Amino acid sequence: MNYFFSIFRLQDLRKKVFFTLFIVFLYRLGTHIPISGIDLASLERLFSQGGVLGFFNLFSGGGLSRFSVFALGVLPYINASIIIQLLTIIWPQLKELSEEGEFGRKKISQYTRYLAITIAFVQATVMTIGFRDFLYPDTSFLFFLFYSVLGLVAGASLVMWFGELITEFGIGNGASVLIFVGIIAQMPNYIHNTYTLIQGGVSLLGVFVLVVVFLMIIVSIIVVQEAQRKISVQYAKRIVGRKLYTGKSTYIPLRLIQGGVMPIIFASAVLQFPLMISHYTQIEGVKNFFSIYYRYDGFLYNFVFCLLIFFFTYFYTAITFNPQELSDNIKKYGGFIMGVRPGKSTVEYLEAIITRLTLVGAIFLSFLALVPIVTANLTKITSFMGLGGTALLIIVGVTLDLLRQIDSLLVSKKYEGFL
Amino acid sequence: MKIALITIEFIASLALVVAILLHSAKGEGLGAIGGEARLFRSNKGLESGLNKITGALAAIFLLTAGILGVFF
Repeated sequence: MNYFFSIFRLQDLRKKVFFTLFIVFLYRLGTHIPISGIDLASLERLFSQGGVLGFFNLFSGGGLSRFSVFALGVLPYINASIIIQLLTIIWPQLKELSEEGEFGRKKISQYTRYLAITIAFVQATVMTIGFRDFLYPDTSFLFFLFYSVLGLVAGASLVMWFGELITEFGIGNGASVLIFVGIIAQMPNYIHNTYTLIQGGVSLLGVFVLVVVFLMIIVSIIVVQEAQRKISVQYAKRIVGRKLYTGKSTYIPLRLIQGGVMPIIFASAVLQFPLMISHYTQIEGVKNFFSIYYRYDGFLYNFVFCLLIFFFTYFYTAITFNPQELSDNIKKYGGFIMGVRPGKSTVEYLEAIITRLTLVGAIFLSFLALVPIVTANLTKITSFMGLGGTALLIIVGVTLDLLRQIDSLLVSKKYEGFL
Repeated sequence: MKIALITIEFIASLALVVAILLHSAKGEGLGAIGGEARLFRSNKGLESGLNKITGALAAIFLLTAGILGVFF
């Protein structure tokens, strides 16, 4: 409790916390402002049936089921980030730019923002056309299309700006905080649905099992997110100016999952592309194929999910972890890894370690994604189906991240911390 | 009344998108959920003015959209 109050004792931290809360409040307010012209009651009925749209609704914090100005949420921005990061590897010009230091990275971020608006525009158009059946009969469609697309795009850019404001003046990474808030806001709905299931005669034991499984998942996520491999490094004695640094042995911590929750967010965002296409397509064959095979509890869906998780875990590690750079840094400061020669063999050693770590991490992440679905099928409590391991991972990951940031701010002011 | 509000919303939302795009990138986007987001230095004076304008446009946009959504 003392730690909790020390947040408010520090003026700097207090400001950040309140600013974040203020933006979150505005964001939640916006998800309740509907775009006028849509028959919300019948739209609500569509969403209560569950199905493919549940995920989008989850990521937009319920904004989609109300057809609010924030219906697109942060998804366009996330998709843009994925596409740009993939392109950075494939496209030589972008790759060159990304190696140009701060200036280049800033340019790339700016491209990401432009792309996000473009994606928002496409998604808004597709979505408005998809929802045309819910229009009040007396409104002209062409006018509504224009009106709603503009509103949705403006809303999506506003959400993006909110995220950036949180990153700059608040606590945590803005975009992930907004996703986090959206998921939390959907929780009461899920609990309510579970309650309805209980009243409908589902056994209480099943609910208990589900709760225990969820708790266990949360604990294991924390353990694995914090897990690190320590590589011991021996530093030689050296003299800098008039000071003498004696040789000492320290270690480099390598995190088990370098990307944290990013691979999961990326994988689930990509996983939804086919769903979106199948939802808005008019071709019967494609529609049927997806509705039969590509389901939350289906084999194909979960198999593809695991593949994507593997891909993005490796992909993200490859982006963020650079063995060459690490090895050069160790050498520069007169250190070496015990039993490994500096230079090329150090790089190879680090590469081998990170490859194995990532393999374990990826297996764990896909395991986490599957457990809730299997349990839900066994206990027949399907109300948490859309939420699943993905959302749990995001919630826990973002919370850990927030705590870590608060902690580092507290430590710098010499207060004891949370973790 | 309705037409006036819709016109205001049109203009506000267009201006809002332009204003947000004018901002220089603040951080590395989704760069690192599991780590730190790298911040960029930006032109403080210019940005704070732009922030005010964007905030005002956002308020107008949300307000008109809200009124239209609730009453019409």
